Amino acid sequence: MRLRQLALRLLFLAVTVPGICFFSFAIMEMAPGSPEEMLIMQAGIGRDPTAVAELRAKLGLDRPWWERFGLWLAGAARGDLGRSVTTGESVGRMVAKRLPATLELTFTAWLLALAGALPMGALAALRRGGWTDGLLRALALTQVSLPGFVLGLGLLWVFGFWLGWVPVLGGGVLRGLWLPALCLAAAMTGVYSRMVRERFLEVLGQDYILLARAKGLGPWAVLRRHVLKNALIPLTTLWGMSLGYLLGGAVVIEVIFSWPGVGVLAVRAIADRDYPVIQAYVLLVALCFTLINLAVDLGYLFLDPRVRRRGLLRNG
Amino acid sequence: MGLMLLAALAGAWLAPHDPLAMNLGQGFQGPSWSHLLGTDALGRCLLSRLLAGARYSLGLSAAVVAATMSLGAGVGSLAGMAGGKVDMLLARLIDLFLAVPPLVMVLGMIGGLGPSLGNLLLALMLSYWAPYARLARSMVIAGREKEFVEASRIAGSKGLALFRRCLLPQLLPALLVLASLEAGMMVAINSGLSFLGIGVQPPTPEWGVMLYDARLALSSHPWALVPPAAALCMAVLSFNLLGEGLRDALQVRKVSRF
Amino acid sequence: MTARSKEAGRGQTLIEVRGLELSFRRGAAPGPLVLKCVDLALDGQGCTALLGPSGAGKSVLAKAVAGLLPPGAVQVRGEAWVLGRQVIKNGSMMQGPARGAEMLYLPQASSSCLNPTMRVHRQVAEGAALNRGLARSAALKTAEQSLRLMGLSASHLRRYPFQLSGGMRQRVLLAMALAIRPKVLVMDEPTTGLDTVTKGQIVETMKAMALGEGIRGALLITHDVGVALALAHTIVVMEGGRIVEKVDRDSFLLEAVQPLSRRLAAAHLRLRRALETSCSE
Repeated sequence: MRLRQLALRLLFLAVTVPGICFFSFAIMEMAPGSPEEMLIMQAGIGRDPTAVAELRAKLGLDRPWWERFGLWLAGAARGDLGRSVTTGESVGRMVAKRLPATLELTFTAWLLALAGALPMGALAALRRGGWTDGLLRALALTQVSLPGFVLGLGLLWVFGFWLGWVPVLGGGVLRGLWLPALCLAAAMTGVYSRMVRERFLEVLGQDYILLARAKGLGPWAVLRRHVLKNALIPLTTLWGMSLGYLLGGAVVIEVIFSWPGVGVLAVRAIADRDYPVIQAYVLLVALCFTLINLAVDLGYLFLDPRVRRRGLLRNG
Repeated sequence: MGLMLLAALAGAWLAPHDPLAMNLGQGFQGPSWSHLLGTDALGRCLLSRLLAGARYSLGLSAAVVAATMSLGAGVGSLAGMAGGKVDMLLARLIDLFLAVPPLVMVLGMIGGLGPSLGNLLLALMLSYWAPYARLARSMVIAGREKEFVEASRIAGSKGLALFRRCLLPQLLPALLVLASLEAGMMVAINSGLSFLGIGVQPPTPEWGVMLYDARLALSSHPWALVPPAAALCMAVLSFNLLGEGLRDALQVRKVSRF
Repeated sequence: MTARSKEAGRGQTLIEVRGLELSFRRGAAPGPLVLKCVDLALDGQGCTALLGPSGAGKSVLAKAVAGLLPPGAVQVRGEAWVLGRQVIKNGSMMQGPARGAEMLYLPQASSSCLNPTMRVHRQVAEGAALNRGLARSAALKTAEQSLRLMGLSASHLRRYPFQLSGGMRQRVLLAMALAIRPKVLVMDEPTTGLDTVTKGQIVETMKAMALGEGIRGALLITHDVGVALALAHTIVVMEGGRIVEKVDRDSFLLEAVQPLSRRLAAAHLRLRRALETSCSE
């Protein structure tokens, strides 16, 4: 049973990955003006026809697009993603240098969101109808409504300039990380605490909780043994996926806090029409996201005994 | 609840209609503080820019949401109604688009096409239609099994007419709830992109652009940050409240952004 | 009065309820009365059936006495005692006898009555370990024993609840009771939702479940007259939140006085007659 679902997921992957690759490749194709003009500019050749023709032949621009796609793919598999139009550096190296910082930020934000949402949601559910519940729900709503970057700007001013606690540019892990991570995590926390709360309420209303109490289990034991596992398992897929969404949202936060990550690179590249960099960014981030989703789905397969029996394609 | 959200939404919408005359809002006045909300670094009246910018921040987002909803719902409904091979193909397509973070797609598309208003619209539309499609499809498939649809079919309606009469009324409330929730997100994304310089371009008075301008002078004149930030939050909040209110009012369950 | 003494020997009153009125709170104000002036005494002699239509308040009564209703959500008046200890007094619910070891309430065997992510034998063992102070391995053994006694085959012992049928789930619940050995056992609708064959099997299993195993008395909540007659020696009829009649099993069918009781009895007799005549054809 498990093998079959594994196979299905991998099959899905086999469709998604080429799709992503093609999309990334197509970015260059979309550019107004032929791609060769860009590369010609990069090479600084000017309009000398023979040199242009030479370059065309060398770069394989006179071949049909599917051949070029193949070439690009082959290069990408090798790690060669071309050279930046603006700086001439190897794109692969540029991205590799900055990717860890982005991952650091995203991962921290993800953990923070989890750490925040769980107790918020659980507490709100347990104190349902009380003022704690109302307060927490209002908090969640605020978190959802504040766009991350607005919060970022505000907090940056408060903590960076006014109070001077936080370095305004970059900064190492300990001092510079927590503020951007918090901003990134804020919206997620709002959304998740509500989902946790709903799930908890659902589970708390079930008969087996009544049975557990009837058996004589104290409230903490009931929580630990019966509520937690059942409430949280269905949410794990979403939590995993959100890591990917955070990857995207990190872009703005990186810009605001001058965090040396991949997002800043992408933004500058877009402004400069630096296509190879854009392509690399899209490719890498999308692939990361897909891999994460795969890991999450597989993890879920192992966690929920019910899923092991029936197949559960995410959007089926 | 309903009253509050109505007031909030009205607040967000009422303003732009008011001084339509001050559309340009770019009278290069000296940096005097006799303006209601002050002026920005270049001496432009913030209030006017705010109000004019609402057209872009809100209007654009609304347009995108409308477009994505139609596109997504169309594809989803088609998939659900057609069944068979068509459905399988479309379902995989939907999954594909859901499997990629939409923001990255937008960045990629704008990167390729160049930042302009039209491209922005296109990119957003092509990246964010999937959730609607998934919702539409699952609702259509679930709705098809219901008895009253069967009854209709026996009574003679088929195909498009069947869809319109039986399924669409079921579908609309859920779609609207999703749309209002997404609208809030869209406003934030829109402004975010403009802030980055990828969406609407300066000197167009869009809220994200205003935030960008404000950022440059953050250390010296922090006030310029407040009006667009407040407006943004209000707008997103309003849309969220609207969505929640709609969800409660129309009794839609299980509609969430993910 | 001996009814209230702490040591409840055979024949002593296990549960006593006097003038109980209960309503669920809706927001700040109380809702309509769910239990209206209930007087009940359950003595330690086998099984008493609480019979009545849906919504009569049978489950609510049992849950209230067992201490399973959240105190903030209900408003009560009157008094109740379980095993000599007062559980409801003058508008508040109090900490009564130990849940589980002394009084066990078994809910209906719905699809959500067991933890879906925990194997069945572990859930039974949990009750045993908690209430009889058994170590983990001993508890598991007791659990498996009880489950087998209830008719579950060895392969079913380690299954998850979703892999078991309704009848099997009910057996699990009964096994839990067996493993825990409470002094008072409350069974809420143990046969509802089961097909006829399974129903008969469960009833027989329950009959065989020797009440001497430390279980002093049982309260059976049901709306099925036949089941009540098969298992209980006293039938208490309840309707609309009130106790309507309390009568001996043998007298129920022919001598019951109240209109509801008569209706129930008549319906049961009709059904029985119909079944008998169709069988003899």
